[in-house]
Amino acid sequence: MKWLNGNRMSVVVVVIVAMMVVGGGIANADFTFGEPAVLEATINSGGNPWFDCISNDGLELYIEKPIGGGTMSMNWDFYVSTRATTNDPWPAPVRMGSPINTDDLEAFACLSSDDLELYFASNRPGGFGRWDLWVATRPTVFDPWKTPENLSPTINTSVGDLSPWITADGLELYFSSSRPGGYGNADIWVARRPTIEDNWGAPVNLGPVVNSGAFDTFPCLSSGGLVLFFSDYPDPSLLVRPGGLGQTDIWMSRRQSITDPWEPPVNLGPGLNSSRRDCQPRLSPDGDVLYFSSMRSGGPSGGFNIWQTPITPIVDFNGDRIVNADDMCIMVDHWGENYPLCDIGPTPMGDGIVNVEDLKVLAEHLFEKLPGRPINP
Amino acid sequence: MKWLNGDKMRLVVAGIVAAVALIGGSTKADFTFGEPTNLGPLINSPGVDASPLITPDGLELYFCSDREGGLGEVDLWMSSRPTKDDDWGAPVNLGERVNSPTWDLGPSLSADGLEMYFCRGYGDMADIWVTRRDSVNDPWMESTNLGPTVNSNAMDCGPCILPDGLTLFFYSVRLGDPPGGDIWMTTRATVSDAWGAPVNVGSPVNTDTWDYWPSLSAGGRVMMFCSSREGGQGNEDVWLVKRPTTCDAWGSPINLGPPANTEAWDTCPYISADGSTYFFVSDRDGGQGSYDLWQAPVVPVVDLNSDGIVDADDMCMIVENWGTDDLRCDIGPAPFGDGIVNVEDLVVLAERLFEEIP
Repeated sequence: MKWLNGNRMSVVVVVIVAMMVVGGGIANADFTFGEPAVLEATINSGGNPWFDCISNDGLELYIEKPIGGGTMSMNWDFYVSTRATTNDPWPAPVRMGSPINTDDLEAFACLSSDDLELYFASNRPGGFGRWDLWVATRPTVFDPWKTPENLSPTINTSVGDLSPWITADGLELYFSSSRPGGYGNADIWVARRPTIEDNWGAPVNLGPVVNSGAFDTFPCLSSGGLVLFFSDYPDPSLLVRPGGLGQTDIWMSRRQSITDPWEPPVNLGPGLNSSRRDCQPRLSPDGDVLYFSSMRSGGPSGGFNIWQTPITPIVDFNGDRIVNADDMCIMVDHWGENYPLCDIGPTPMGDGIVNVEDLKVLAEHLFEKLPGRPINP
Repeated sequence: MKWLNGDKMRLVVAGIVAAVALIGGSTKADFTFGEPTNLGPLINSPGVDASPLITPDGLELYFCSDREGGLGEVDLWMSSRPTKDDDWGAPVNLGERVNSPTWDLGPSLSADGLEMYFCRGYGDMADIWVTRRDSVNDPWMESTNLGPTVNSNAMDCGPCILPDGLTLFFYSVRLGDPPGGDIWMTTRATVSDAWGAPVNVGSPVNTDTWDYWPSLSAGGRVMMFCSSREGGQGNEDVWLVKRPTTCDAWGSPINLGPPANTEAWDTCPYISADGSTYFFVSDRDGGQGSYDLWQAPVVPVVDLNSDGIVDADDMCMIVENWGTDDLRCDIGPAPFGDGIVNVEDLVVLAERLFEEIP
């Protein structure tokens, strides 16, 4: 079954630094979330759709749904919506066939940056017990997916291994697992490989700053690698991370550079989380949109619906309420540095260096006027 | 026979970085060329090696050659490399579905890499042919003649298909025309429609001398071609012509100047999809014999205010002209720009930020 019914465990009190840094001040590269909006009914149909990913070419959208409609279904399958150009609307998703879907559970898909590898979790035969991680490949985006391969016992265990997230460089695989050595329920782990030709190394726990006694899962990294979104698992029988809005919530952790440790997670707050179950945060390929699945009211589908919220970087570095050449000059003054104020690209939160990625994000917002009074009139 | 040959000129050319004024009436150059280098003895043979084409990923080089191992006269060959930093591998003949016992040359690939137009010559006649494949990993299928709407009963050669697949440029010597080739174009409404009747591109691109081997930028706004008109460096030279949009008339052709052009025969221009490298054909000294493939780096001019350094002042000029068609600031995508000052220009400038320009 889709719910994870892990063993209940005693409540572990975790002190959460719940300060919302998003949108506050201009001392660091910051961004704001817009108002969440529910996806159109062509995507949110059939009962309990969950969002998986959009291909990096912007032409495929993957979701997963329970066959039969109820979340307790023993058969979840992937559906894919395919469009000809990025200007076209998404047509109704089509249920994928064999060899991707089976009569068992398939869920939590993500694509490699070249769109030629599809990582997902399944309890299909041939694994090492309960949920395992699998990968399917295709020679080109025009070819069909080949038969998925199990990621081997280096990655998979006899307990649940699920929700894979492959990084943009293809060298890190984040996922959640209930294997021994964690901090309770499930934790987020990461496996690494030196090159994409190499085998995965042994997974490493992300540590007690990120992981809690709750079911920590659904990791998703920004392409710059400085932001980690994740959530609890929305199984009513599972403990949720304290400090949230009631039920399952979406959390975010940051780090100053990809070699620095993750900072304490912050709850994304009532602007994004609801009092109902919110889970499975996923960034769009360009980092401009955060998708998530939620049981909040307002969607066309019963149960879960897929929602999205725009991510807007703060580009007005000098606080004069207009994005112009002055802000660009501040960026040039810090060119090549790890200068968080200007490190806005890739969205969100940059990549640890001021370079052309930041210039591209600034250019998208050039001449935008912001409401309010200039900070330094 | 006007494929490539002519009287061989032998002249030493001392070409190093030299600015090319590509915009009529402007003192600013769009880009300069670095020193040309010969593609070396693995690619170039003692005989004819010509009509280069580089795939958009930069990993495959198609060209024609009369080297040994072909099906006769000139054949199409392909060389590949694992990455852009690697050397080209040994060329492979494209085989009998593409090549014939006569002249096969002038390849042009569709954007998806599944259609290849090329020229097949017989004596003083030539036609444009096309071959297709189901995927980039599949072999080419049997070639077909483009038919009498496009091909005349004289010489039709040098096809260049635009990325949208709807416009095909080529050169032609049609019966009844004055001697010398002209550049023509044909269009179709969709990729499944037939090509329409060709139209002569007209003056000032075409003259009463030879104007041939058209090579267009991805957006169709810039065309390089080979011409024997007066005003060049000697023999055949490569010329460049622009138009503001594909609906406008072509401007005045400009000679690329040295070091791209010399007193030798310089022809078959091709700029890589990333805008970084100019490929061409020349029988200049320093080659492996006869016509060879050469390449030269394309260096965009990014010191927009000519103060000797690429810095925030140049960036501010782009911002001041944001959204306009200011030619001086329209440096991206390299090397031809796209008719509007936008983020593409910032990206080209950023690659050279803080560079000192002597």
